Amino acid sequence: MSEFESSNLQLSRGNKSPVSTNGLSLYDEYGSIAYGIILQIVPQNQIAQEVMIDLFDSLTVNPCVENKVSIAVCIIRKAREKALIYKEKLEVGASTVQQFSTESAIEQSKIIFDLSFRQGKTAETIADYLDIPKARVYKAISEYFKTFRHS
Amino acid sequence: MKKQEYIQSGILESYLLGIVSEEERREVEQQASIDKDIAEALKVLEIDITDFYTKNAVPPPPIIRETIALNAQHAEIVKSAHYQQKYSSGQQATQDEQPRYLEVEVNDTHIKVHKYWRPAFIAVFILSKVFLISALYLYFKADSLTKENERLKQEIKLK
Repeated sequence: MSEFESSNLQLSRGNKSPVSTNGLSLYDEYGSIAYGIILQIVPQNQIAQEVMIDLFDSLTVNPCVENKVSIAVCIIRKAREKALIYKEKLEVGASTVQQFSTESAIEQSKIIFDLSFRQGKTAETIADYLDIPKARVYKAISEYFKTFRHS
Repeated sequence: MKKQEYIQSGILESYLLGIVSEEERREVEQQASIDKDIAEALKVLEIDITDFYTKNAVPPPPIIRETIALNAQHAEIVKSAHYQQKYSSGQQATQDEQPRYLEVEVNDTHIKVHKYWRPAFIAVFILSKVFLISALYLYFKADSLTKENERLKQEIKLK
């Protein structure tokens, strides 16, 4: 296997090695993941497409070569950040906080995850709003992924 | 806080999703750098989160790829033009701004020229030989004529 093929394989596996790559190759690899995330935050197709173009244009200039997390996780973070910026501009993030106390534990985790990841609320804001400790917010996010893992 | 409690607190998932504060981000990175178990837990969670979003992936319309490709080409052209402009004005471009050229040191002593140079070189070679022969012929002829001239002068003097 050539060095080039090897580096591409590492990239597709989400390896942390600082593979120099452009926005287009990242798009081919992770475009669907990013679009799924963006649509969850900004459900309007037209705006979601604008966010996608903005995201991968910025990745061309500043690709995910930081060594802390995998490329996939880096793109998930950046897709969320971009989508939240557009969401804020559109002011579509009207408060959609639901009645917390009456929901089941799974539903509570889902609501907290929605508030933090999809609506961009900080852990402190969610904790204040729902009148729960900040640690409970993080725990709920963990539980949300655990539910997914066991489903 | 005990290590296992820390791993199960949800801070690692939140860190990976980018929803923690700057202070918490630094703390997680520091913990991961000094504790193998936390680093390992982060790796496992990275895979879980990637799997989760891969299952929720939505293929984007093809027009997005075309637009990104066009924008990338445009950015490359602008960058290249910017660099050329700076270089021609005598400014020293910084390392970041330099285009990604691969510098190659050429040790080859041969050169490549257009194929039309071949008959041109042959013609020049033949002409040089013709001129050389002509020059030698004229030299010897002039020499013999000079000698003949001297001989005739002496004959006239003797008469």
